Amino acid sequence: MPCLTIDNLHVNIDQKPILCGVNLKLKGGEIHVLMGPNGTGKSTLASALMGHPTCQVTKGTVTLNGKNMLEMNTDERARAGLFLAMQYPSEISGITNADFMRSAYHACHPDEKPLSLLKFIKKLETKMQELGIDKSFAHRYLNDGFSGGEKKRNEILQLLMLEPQIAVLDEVDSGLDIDGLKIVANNIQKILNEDLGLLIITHYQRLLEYLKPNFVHLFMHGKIVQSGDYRLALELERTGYGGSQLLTS
Amino acid sequence: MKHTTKEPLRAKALRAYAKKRDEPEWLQDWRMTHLENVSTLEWPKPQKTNIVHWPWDDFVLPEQENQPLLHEHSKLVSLFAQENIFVEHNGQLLQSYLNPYLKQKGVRWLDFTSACTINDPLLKKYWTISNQKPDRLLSQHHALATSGFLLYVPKGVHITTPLQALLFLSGEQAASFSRLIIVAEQDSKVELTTTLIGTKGCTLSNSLAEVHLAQGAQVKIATLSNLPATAIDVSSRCAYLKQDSTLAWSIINLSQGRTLSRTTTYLEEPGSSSSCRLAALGTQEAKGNLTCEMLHQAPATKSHISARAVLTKEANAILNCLTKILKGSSMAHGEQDSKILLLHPGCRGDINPILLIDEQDVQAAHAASIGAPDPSELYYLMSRGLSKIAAERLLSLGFLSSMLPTENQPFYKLTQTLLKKMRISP
Repeated sequence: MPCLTIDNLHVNIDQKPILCGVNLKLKGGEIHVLMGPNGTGKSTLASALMGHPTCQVTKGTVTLNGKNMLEMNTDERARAGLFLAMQYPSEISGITNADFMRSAYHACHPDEKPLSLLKFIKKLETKMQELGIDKSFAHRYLNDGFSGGEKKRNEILQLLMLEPQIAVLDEVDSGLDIDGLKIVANNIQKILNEDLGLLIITHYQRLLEYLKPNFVHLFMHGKIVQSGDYRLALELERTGYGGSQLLTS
Repeated sequence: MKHTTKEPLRAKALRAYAKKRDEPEWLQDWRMTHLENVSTLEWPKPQKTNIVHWPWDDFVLPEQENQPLLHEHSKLVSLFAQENIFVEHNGQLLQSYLNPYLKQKGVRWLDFTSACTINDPLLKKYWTISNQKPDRLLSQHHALATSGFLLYVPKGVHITTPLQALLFLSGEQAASFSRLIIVAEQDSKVELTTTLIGTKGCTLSNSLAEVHLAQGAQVKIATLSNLPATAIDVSSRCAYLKQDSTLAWSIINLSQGRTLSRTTTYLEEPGSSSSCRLAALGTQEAKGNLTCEMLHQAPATKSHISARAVLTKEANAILNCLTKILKGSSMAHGEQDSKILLLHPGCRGDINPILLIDEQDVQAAHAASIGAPDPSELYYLMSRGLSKIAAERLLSLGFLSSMLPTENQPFYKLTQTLLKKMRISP
């Protein structure tokens, strides 16, 4: 069972402290939800976990299955089993989704015999069908000209294809319409097992109607200030972050 | 036999060579005139590239015997449907097939030797009307052109299947001087691809393509050249557009030696429009000077140049983009954008975006950028497990692929195959 451990993580961006002592333990089979106001560092946490070059870790540790993630480059972290569904995925013209995903699949599964093009396309098309994505998607350039919802579905498609151990979903629900949200959530629920742990960053409770979290964390001022179960999300939805701030104090 | 452009005695040898090929008198005379010019005219002077010391004399004129294709080349031919195909090896025709239906419609696609043998009047007409400024290299081409084809599409004929020409070069000091003449009559429509591929040891290709579009004609031309580091690749392309005609160029340069490429489009009459997409990849010590010119000579003409180059190791490339709007070309619209991606500190790229405007009431714009891969794109690809090298390679392929004509699948696949073989690495 995979286990991601974040211990007292401090991160600066451009010399400015953004994360100020994040602690979190996430195991396979668990869904953790991170909620909090804009600008408190939720996405920075996601980026820091993935090794974004602008994030300078000043203190703390991050381990995945006991391995020090902070010593690894971004690609090594991905190959170690970490996945980040980004809030703003890059648009890259000239690279088709299929070519990109095939390269990524083989990079993340180095011990497996490479899938033939035909087998890979079949696998990709099956996953696309499950996510309600049109076949033409595979031959479109990576996120180029995609709508907000299409980009988010593409991130989830990559999640389904790459089969990581720990996935961080950064506002994957923004940009998705009601049906899209339901399909995405159902697919995530379907693949959730003890070999996959999820950290979901969101502003809204609606995603949690389909994905029942084990833990909900309130993230403010660069750290987790309160943790609870699903009821905390409901409380936050009702009172807003201001109300919850009162709770924590 | 080794020929050099400096040998005065070569005139005799060239005359004999032309006679042996049963060439018409006018063509033999044409060759002789231009051979004299080879030693008297100036070298062309491409910006920031001194070509005078390039090894221009190191080549052997193509033999007249057919030589079988190399296995690796045959495999590339098999990517294409065997219809509307033209294959040459070292200047000798190996295969030519034009759909009989198109022949019935009056389409002519003749290889150079056949056109000479029947002394096709179109050959003489279009061979001799080139209005490019003569220089030493153009004269070398005129004197020695011995391969290529003439394509004639009559009025109103639409060719729906692309015509595919594949020209191969192999052997020590192998050289090619191919001339491509494309004539699209009024309201005709045609799509053509030409591919030039050479193996290690070949030394020179000096080609000239001329395209004539009558009123309302629609033409798409994609060219791909992939010569080795031992070769000089000189290609001149010229197009003349009449009223409301449209020409789309896709020029892909994967040659790894020295490259001199010039594409000039004359928008001669109102309503004509042209686009030029240029993609170049330079690895190792490749040197390239690639020019794309759009000359607006009439009102309401439109042009767009998009140029991309990826450079690695010690490669050097200069992209010259020129949009010239002449007096009287009101309501003309010319745009250009150029980008160079540098993957290694040792490579060097220059872009010269030039707009010359001599008319009011026109629109023109240019954009140019040179730099390393976008860090956010690299991060995104690496976050999916790709190493930095693999991510840069994929980004480079994507950067160039956005310039390729994707609708022509065999040509697209061929280009992708060659690009992947070239092992782009920082």
